[in-house]
Amino acid sequence: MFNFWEKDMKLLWRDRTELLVIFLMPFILIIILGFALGSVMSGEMTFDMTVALVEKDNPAEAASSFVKQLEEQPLPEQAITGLTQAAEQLQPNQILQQLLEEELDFVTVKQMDAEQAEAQLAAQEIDVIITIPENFTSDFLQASLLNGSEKSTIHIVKGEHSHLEGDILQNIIGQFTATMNLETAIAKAAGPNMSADVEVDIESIAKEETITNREPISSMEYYTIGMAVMFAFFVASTMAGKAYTEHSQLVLNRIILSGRHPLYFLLGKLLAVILMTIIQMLLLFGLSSLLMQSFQPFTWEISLTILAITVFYAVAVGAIGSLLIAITIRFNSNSVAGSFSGGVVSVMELLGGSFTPITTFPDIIQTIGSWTPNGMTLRAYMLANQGMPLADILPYMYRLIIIAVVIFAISLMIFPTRRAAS
Amino acid sequence: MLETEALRKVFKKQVAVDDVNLYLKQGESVGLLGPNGAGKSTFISMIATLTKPTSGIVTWNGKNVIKNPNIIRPTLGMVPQEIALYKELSAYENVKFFGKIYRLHGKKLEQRVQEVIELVGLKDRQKELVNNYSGGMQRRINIAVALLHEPEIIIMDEPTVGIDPQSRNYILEMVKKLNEEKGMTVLYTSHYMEEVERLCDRIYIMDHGKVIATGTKDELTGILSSEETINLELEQQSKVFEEALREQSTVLKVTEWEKGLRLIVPKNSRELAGIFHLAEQYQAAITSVNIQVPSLEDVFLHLTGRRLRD
Ligand SMILES: Nc1ncnc2c1ncn2[C@@H]1O[C@H](COP(=O)(O)OP(=O)(O)OP(=O)(O)O)[C@@H](O)[C@H]1O
Ligand SMILES: [Mg+2]
Repeated sequence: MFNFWEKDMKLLWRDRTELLVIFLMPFILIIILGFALGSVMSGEMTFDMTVALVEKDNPAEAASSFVKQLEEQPLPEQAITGLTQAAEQLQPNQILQQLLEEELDFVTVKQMDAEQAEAQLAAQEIDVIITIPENFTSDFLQASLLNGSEKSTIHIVKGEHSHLEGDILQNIIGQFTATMNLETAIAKAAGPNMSADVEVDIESIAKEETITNREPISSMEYYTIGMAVMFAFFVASTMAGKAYTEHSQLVLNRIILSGRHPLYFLLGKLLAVILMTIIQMLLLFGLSSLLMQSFQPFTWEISLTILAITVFYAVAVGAIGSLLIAITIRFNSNSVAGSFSGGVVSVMELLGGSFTPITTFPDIIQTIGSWTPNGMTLRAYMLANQGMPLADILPYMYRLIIIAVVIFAISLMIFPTRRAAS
Repeated sequence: MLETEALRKVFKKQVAVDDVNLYLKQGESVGLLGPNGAGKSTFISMIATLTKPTSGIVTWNGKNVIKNPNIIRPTLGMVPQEIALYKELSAYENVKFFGKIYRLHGKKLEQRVQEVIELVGLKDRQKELVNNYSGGMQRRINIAVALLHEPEIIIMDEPTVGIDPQSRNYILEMVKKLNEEKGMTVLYTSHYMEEVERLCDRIYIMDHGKVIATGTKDELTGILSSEETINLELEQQSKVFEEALREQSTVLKVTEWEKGLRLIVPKNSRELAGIFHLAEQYQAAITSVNIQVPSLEDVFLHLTGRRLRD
């Protein structure tokens, strides 16, 4: 097997054009895509946006009516005092405003009423309208402190001229509300007696949950990952193409005559694809982080997780490669590998989200995409890059391995291990 | 030691090999002669256990090879019709790679690699990529690979197709040496009759999947011993003259060739006078006459009505 593998590596190594396609192309594409579509997703954005904040809510009134309501509840005195204090501190509107004005320095906030906001949006004077609806604070307090069920919702209207900015803001607000909900849920679980902590938690939200170094993922990182998972496929199809041009059937005949099992041939190729894929992807990640400061700050934990995902993905790509090779040899035709690198890869890429961030897709496509090997790997990399624990990433890795095993099993069935077909 | 009995291969509806019986004795050099598409490669590939026959038997030293291919595989060297090498590897790397596949390693591997490369006369250029080799050199390496594991029998499928005369000569001499000096059994496929005439003890002539004649060269040409071929060069073809010749009871066969007509007549039939007489009668100007001793080419022509090479 290693003889075969050694030969395949040698062959690939001598084919400079293929090497360039496999190793350099993705890097060039990353740079182009990263800069062109760039800044959009980046944490250090170079653009400004103007946001109209339309406040229909009256937080002060909400707080006082909430306190009144509290006093009617059959609660111990201590609890009522605690909750009252919490309610006075817990002013989501203020936190949001603070977030927008102080933490996001690319955002300019203007307070105005709804009509004015719409007019200005139409005139493209502002990019986004954020509307805080009536009873927002009240609902929020009810929900977070008293098991109320009304949901508090913030509305975002994106201008047509600026939906990219809108997307980003939506993202940030989404994160903000998620954090608020999480933190208050924690506070609630801890019980009313712990009300003093609520205050601390809420403050920490505003400080920590704006944009950290790792969130959201930068465009450069996104496209690095996207291109890496995509070009890995080309390793597979390149190997299959080579299997065709090297007249594999003839070489296979020699192997059969030598008394060796022809599967060694396939295993050698599988191994070569896996190794080339690993080299290729690590090279990409390495270059990208060196030259473009992607994936910073460096931590061992994240790097090792990324290495692990890479190995798993490479195995899956290897399996796909061996399927392509098996088909190529069985039917003595190059068309399968060709249509794979031409058509199938593009479809998988689109579904998997190598070119367009997956979150912009409809749900159904996101779901399908999450089952493509590249799609699940892309998600795994993003989770890893955001410092998620291994436990959250493992399911993706298991899926990858299952897919790899299934595909490889199919390739074994197709690969002609006996004499030449009929 | 190698024998086939009613070996047959049918592709879809086409019968590529039609009940072929053939045998090879140890140390023999046997030629398989036939035009394009005769079924030579298919036949060989069945012997080499690479293609499963539709029906029939192949035995090696009396044992059924079709049931157990491993009986013959280790002792068989197969030179395929197409070049089965890696063009982007050097000759040395190719031979070494296939040597490893044959489970050679270490000193023994290196030694065998050098031996076979020397045998095919490419020692000085072994480090060059096969891609930069001429067709003839590629064919020689293609043969070298088949000799790595010191096979008892070597099967060669048109090893000299489309190469320069030097390489061709080299290969023929090499095969002759292997057969005569090392006692290697050779099954040599070709559509060049000169090659099999020169190399082989016995010859099988194949056409449309069937063996149409077999024997030593002398035996085969003996088929024609009672006949001879007269080549007439004419100033221009003449249908009437041709028809008139056909009607002569002493002329067995008339065919056209580019410069005139070819007649097959019984040996010593003294037909020439009659022919000249007819030519005069039909005003066909004969520019040259040539009486041929039969060759394998004529045997083939006689048996099939076609020439070996179109
Ligand atoms: N795999 C196949 N499928 C269908 N038909 C085939 C196959 N291989 C060979 N044939 C047919 O069988 C016949 C014999 O082919 P074969 O290659 O054995 O001839 P050959 O004598 O080796 O000819 P050549 O001198 O051109 O090499 C041909 O008509 C060919 O088209
Ligand atoms: Mg042939």
